[in-house]
Amino acid sequence: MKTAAWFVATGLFCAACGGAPPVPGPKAVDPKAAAEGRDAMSPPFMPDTVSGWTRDGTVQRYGPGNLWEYINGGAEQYLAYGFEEAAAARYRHTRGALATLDVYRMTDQVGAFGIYTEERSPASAVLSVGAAGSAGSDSVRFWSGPYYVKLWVSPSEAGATGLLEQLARQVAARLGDPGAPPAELAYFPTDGLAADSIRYIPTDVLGQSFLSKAFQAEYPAGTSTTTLVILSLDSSEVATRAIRQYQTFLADAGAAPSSRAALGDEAWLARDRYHGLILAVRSRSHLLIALGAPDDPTARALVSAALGRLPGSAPPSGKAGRP
Amino acid sequence: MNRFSRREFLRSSGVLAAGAASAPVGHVAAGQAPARPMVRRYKPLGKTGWKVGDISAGSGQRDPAVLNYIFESGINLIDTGFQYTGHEALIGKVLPKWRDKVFVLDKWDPPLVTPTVTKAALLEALDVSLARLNTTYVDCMMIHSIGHPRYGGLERIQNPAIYEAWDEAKRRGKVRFTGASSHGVRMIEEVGWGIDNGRFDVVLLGANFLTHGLEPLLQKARSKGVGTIAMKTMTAYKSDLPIRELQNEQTSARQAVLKWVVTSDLFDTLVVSMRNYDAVTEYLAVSGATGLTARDRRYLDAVAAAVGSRYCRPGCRACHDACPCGVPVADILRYKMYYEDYREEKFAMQRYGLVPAHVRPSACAGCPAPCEPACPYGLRVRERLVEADRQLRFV
Repeated sequence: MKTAAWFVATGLFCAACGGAPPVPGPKAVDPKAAAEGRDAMSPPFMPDTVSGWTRDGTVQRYGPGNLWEYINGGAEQYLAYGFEEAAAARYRHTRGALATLDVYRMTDQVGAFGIYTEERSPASAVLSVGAAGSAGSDSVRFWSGPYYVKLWVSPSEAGATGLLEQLARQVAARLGDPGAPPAELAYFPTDGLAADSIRYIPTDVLGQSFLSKAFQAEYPAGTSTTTLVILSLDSSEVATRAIRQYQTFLADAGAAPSSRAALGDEAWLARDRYHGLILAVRSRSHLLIALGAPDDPTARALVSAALGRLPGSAPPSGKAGRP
Repeated sequence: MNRFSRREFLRSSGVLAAGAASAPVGHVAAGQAPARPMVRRYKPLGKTGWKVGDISAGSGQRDPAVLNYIFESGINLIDTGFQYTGHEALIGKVLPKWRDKVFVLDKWDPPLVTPTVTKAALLEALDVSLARLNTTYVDCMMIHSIGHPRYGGLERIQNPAIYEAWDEAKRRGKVRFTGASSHGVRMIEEVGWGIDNGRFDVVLLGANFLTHGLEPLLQKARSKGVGTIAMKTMTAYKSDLPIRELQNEQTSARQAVLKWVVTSDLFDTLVVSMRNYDAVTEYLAVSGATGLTARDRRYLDAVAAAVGSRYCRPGCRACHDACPCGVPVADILRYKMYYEDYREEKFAMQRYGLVPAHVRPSACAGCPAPCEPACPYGLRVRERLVEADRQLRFV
């Protein structure tokens, strides 16, 4: 769904919930919506009844200023991912289960992907809904376009997840084009990539206030796990400043970066007590940082493979492929 | 505010690494100047027996290395919750290494705790949190956000299942202490109930230099040996709030805001979000402060002048029943804040639309305004209500 459509829906909802004077513009009752059995006064992705589920109560709306009233303590993370607006409602199924449905609209689909990957449980199963989804014992989550959606029942109703999936699919169908995964996902080599480990980090990458908008993935091997972080910055100059600032940070912390790594346009190796081996490489406007590799060759091989997958690079050899 | 430079700080952190294995983490020997910003003062956390640093960590970290760094800096309490997106799991990545050195304060998901929630459901949720945290116990399990109308009133926290769950969790060694967090309008009543009835070992309250009126509650907590922790300390002054007098001095101003809590004898510690190394450095520079300087007071005065007459304080409900016509004063002022400060015009108008027409402030202009003397902070309540009606109604 496009943003404009959201606001149309919101305007309709406002008129209904407040008993306020009619809002100029769209008619308060949409005959087509009524014929379809949905309430024109609610957002179209939160229908009154669908697949045995009936909405229980009104739709609650939240913005950046009061999201904390709903997810107290978690709002800051949502804001970092570009949260713009949320709608929440409860649904009761004819079999008795009571579910909560949250729909969060983010600035863009990278933000939706990001908060989804942040909240996705490693123990959850892949679910084909929206652009990507997952199901746990009592919850379903997915993202679609700029929307992040989560549905859950209480733990005592964990058997109702099949019903939740039905509701999730109905919501997804009403959110429109789910969009495609962020292009940056294709930068990560697939060989050794841990399933569902790619995340988007909007700010404070590696604890650094000057590093933002990174994608990160994990490559477990034996007892160690290498983390690969990729940042696509605005220009080569910005990338150069960033890699040098990080280099200075590590040097000041006693990690002594060395420039033994001949990769990309600029590269160095360091070792700190938190991440172990660090290999940082700049290639044009991209930064690639491998952390925690068991040895230098492993880090180089991973970063080299990723360099070959960046836009404008020569086609990678070997096992490259879209994740 | 005297601050270490970033370079000095980081250099010294490298030095620390060499000695970390042998030195007790987080404790500076008497008479020895700390080589880097570290926690410089520890206080008893109520009667828990825990000596807590005067600066503690809230959420916001994205990299486990930052958590390691925080704990190496002597911070020995971390505040988390089921609802803190991914934060419990992030802590779980490093907690085994720090388990006996860090006091973990966790909270149930607020909507879970209802007047009818069962002991079994609460214990089940506790187990989920323990698994995420990668530990077998939490030091303090709290009811999250009491005193907030959204989640219900006293009947919510009077549900005996909560206390049965706590007792059982303590017997099983999964919880050491219990408590509640609040920054809601009924904070004083509900936290007070828990303290009076011996239910809380620790309370986490929204408080900052603009809040007044919590003192009796805090003193009562103190007299009963209940640990007191401040949160929402920085909400009064966020870095993006443009105050001309504080241009280029925002860091020092933020530190003054924290210092107000650190130097208060009503709080054992404060929790503040620490997202990155810079934030840890900035906040730890305040640790050990014993008083506010004239410069600190100037910063606080500047912030108060900018936001004080608009800022509805956590826990305050002084105006709640002040209007003889039943106008929900506090709610409408909050919607106005959404409209003006957060640029959420549509949302604010929508909320205002829910206020029944007969209790909207359309007649406030000609009223003697008994709501104004009810506000202990001097908010120009009537004027703001009239403005709100003009701004927020649809036509």
